[in-house]
Amino acid sequence: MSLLEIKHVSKIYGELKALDDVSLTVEKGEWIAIMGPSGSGKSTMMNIIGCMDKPTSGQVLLDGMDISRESGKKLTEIRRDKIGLIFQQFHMVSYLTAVENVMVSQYYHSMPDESEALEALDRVGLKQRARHLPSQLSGGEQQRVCVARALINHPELILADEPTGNLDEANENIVLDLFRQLHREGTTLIVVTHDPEVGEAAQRMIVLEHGRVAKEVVNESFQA
Amino acid sequence: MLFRMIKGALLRQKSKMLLIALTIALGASLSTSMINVMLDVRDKVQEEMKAFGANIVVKPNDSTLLNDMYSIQDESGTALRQSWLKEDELGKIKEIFWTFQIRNFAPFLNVSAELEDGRSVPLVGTWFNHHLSLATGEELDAGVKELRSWWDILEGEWIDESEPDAQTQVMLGKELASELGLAAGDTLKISGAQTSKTVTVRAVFDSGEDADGQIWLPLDLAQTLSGLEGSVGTVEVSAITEPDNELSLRAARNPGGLSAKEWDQWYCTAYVSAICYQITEVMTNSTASAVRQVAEGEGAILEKTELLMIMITALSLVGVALGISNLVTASVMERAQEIGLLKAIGAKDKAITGIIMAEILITALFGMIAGYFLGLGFAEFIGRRVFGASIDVKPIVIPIVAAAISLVTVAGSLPAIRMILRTDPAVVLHGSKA
Amino acid sequence: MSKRRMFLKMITASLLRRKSRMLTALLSVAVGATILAGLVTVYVDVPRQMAASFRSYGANMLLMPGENTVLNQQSVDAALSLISEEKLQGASPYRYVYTEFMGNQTGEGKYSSQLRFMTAGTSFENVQKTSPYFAVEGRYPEAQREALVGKNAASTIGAKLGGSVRIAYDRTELVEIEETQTELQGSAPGYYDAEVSVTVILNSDGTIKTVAMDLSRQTPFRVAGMTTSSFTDTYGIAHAESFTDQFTGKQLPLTLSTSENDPDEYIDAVSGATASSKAVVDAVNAALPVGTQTDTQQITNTERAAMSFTVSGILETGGEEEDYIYISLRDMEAITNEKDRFDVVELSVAGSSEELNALANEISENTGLECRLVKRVTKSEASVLGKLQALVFLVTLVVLVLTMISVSTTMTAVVSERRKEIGLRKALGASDNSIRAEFLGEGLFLGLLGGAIGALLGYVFALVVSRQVFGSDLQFNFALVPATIIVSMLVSALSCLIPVKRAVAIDPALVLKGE
Repeated sequence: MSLLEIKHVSKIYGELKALDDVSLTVEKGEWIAIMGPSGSGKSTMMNIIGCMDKPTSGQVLLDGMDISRESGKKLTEIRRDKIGLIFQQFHMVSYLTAVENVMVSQYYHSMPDESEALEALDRVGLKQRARHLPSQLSGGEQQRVCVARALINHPELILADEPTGNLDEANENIVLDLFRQLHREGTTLIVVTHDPEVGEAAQRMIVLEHGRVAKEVVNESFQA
Repeated sequence: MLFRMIKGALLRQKSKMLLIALTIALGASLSTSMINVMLDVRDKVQEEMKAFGANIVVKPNDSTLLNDMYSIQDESGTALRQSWLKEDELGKIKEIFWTFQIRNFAPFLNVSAELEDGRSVPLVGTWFNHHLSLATGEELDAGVKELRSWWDILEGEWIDESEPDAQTQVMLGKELASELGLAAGDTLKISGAQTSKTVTVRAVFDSGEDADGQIWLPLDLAQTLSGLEGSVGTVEVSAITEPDNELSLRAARNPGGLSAKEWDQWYCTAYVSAICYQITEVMTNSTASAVRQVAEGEGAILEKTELLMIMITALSLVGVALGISNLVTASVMERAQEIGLLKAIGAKDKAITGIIMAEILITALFGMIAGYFLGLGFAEFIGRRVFGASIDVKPIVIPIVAAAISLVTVAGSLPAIRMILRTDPAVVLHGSKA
Repeated sequence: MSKRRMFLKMITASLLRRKSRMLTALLSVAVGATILAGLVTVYVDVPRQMAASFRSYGANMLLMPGENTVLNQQSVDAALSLISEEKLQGASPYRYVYTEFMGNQTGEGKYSSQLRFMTAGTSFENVQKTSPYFAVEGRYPEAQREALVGKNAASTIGAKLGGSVRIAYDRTELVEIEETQTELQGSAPGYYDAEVSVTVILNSDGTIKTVAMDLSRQTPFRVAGMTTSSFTDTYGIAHAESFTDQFTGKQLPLTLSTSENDPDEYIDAVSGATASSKAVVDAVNAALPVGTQTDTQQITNTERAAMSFTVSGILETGGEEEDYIYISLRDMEAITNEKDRFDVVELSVAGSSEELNALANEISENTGLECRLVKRVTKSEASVLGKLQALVFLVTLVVLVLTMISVSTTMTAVVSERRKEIGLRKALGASDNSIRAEFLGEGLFLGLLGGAIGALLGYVFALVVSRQVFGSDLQFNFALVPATIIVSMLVSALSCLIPVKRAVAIDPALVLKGE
């Protein structure tokens, strides 16, 4: 069974068709990049997959569950249990330290466990900075904390929205390396980006244009 | 462009600006109502103080009144008195300089009379609700109905002097009524020094004082019975007065000892001694003096009430000031990034300060206008509920409240804007936001 | 780490690390709580304090002798023991007597005629409490033989400050005298020789006490041409009595007056009944002792006592007190030679109209004294005090309502600012309820802290008011601390929840989208 199946999904905001009959299937362990210029429907796609929005029509199956029909409360549960989110603006709780920010995710999911959270930070190379507040961290460091936070609950799917959009090249590489590592461990990754370099790091690129899938490119040179 | 930016900020940050406007409106209404009530509380409470009776007594100059306090009568039953005040001069009391401070007054004529069984009883002739049309055009119902507000009418009702048969009616004190076995509606014959009259008991009252053993009757009737037409023994005056100070006390002892300047100041302030002095001037052969029990008590209560209201007002104003400046500071701090951005794109500090201040002050203006009227509503509510009368709206409150709130708003926002402007825009923009 | 610890950690981190914002919220809650605690304390305390200031109107309760109870130190103490100490502001005993003015410092009176003044004996220390409105030029009497003279009295008698005034009091004393009296009986022929008999009682000093006649045997015709009943009934009681009354006090033997020039000791005949009158006089003169009897008699002894006083002060009140002379109780006892006797005790008692009424009844019932309220003071006080209380109540209400709304707008503003954080938490999988719980926790904590600070500052405010306005201290009202804290927690929690409710209703995606 595929992890994610998007079937004929449309999202309409008034006159605007943000998504127009999009279909897509993602298998477990796959690393997909969704690309396209601004206004192509990337964010809408990301919100629907991330259980933060519902399609106007069509069906979205995540791990066999139809998330296009679930209630808001159920969606929150699904998001908590199955998805790890990474945002362009990092979005950390400003008054919590790095390790605490990771633990927030654990807290809502199951049980906060500091040692596990520290381990996760260690994986992203930030064990030394665990006790720092977001304002004391650089952008790259903040995004790495967000990666640690996204993977702490071992989600089936990590959904990243422009994860490198606010990062310099050095940090971008660090984040991409982390993704590669996660991929090797079998985590399913969906990365929404307009940066070709990030897109090309994925196994498969879906290019959206005007809310439709314009093309699908399989990365021949992909190395796990 | 400045205008468009301000307009944009006001409209787009609607909910935030609405909160600021709401808080300022609350603060303005609180200050408006409290200051209005505070400024008017003296007049209102003084009006209530009427309940304690007259605070000035006018007596003939050489009276050697030897009455006592607890109805232990002189053998003759009548006060020893050689001289009288003139009834036709009473209206002049309401024509002195401080005419508006005179709330009410009533003349008294204490005489004694005999009943049919030979018993001697004290009579008090007075005004109950005597209608006066003064030379000034003012109309007034003067008399003891108001000056003896603590009396309980046990039977019947107050003598109403506007009724034609009022001149044949009397009111009996409860002790005398029970001694004589009389009730309201009964008749009795009273023989004064001059004539006898048969009168009807209109009411039996409980005064808690020696009036309980007396017969109270209209002044004209008492004069006819005793043959003292046109004469009055004492006059009680209830006046609104300023509390005494060193000057008024000195003047009360010896008005001649004041300098011309002090004299003017004293004469033109509603001190009880100044009002007494002016009454003495218009009434022939009279001495007006303050009833210290009432004047002093009234002064003490007024002073305390006013002070209490000032303290409560001060506390609420401090609360308002903290509340507004606190919220305004918070709202400015929240916009640190916006300010940083403006600075980053090259706006001058002054321009930024101008924009933000203009936004906040425009918001504050709307809040103040709404709050002022809301505050008038609260003041009216308090006035109606407590005193049954509107609180006087003092225009002076408008500039006071406007100035105070603008000051607090500026004081709350300006330092915050300065602080943000001093910070490097890069730091402000970078500052991560949750 | 347990879930609860993480919960607490997040809340404390939010409170501690977002210093400026939390200070804003805390300040707002604390200001609100201060106003709440301060005004409520003042409101609760105002009636007590105001009632005390109303005591400047003077005594509001009077103790007077009851039907069977005298007013003395013992009965007054019994009455005072029924009034709680904190309510009793003062008690002044008074003894009033009429005295005669005998002269001032110049040694002679201004008037030649008799001048009688009411003189009051009292305790000046207590008078200053019960009658704070007394204005004394000079000072209250302190030493023996010092007097406070009312302004009117002083001007009448020409008394000057520092001068002297001499007053006299007529001590009256009822003396019982036992006397042995002699009864005599006699008769004499009257008109037409009908016999007239008399019974005479003689005092021990030989003077006649009473004469009783028996005229029954005088025929109607014989008595001045009138019937007996006419004699006794028409002129009768009056004439016969005024006739026999003449005998009283006279010495035997008696002489019947015959002309207008006769001395006063002679007995005047009843006009038109000269024969009968003569017969009566003859019968009295002829009467012989028949026995003795003892009689107890009451005699009023009057003794005049005069005393000079130094005028230590002139009293000005604008009331009747200006006609009196005030001296100490000790001097009063000396001049009247009566100990431990008062006519009235003026009491100044704090309390509402109902309380005072109940107290007056209780005292009347338990002590046998008559306890009365001075209606002029109590009733007026009740009405004015009621208004003042209503004023403070409404003002407090208005201020509190506005303050609480203001607190919640600030809290709302502070929480609204965190919409993005709420969106993030939702995106991380937080349920609406757990977000609400977190903000509620923060709100409750702020309410707790702000309420505690406010309760203290409010007490300080109330204390300042109490000292400045009423010049008295204030009891710390412990019950108000939890009340203030609970109200603060409620207000801040509620005002947190409103914006949180709005924030959780919004899609996390919208919140998380760029700046």
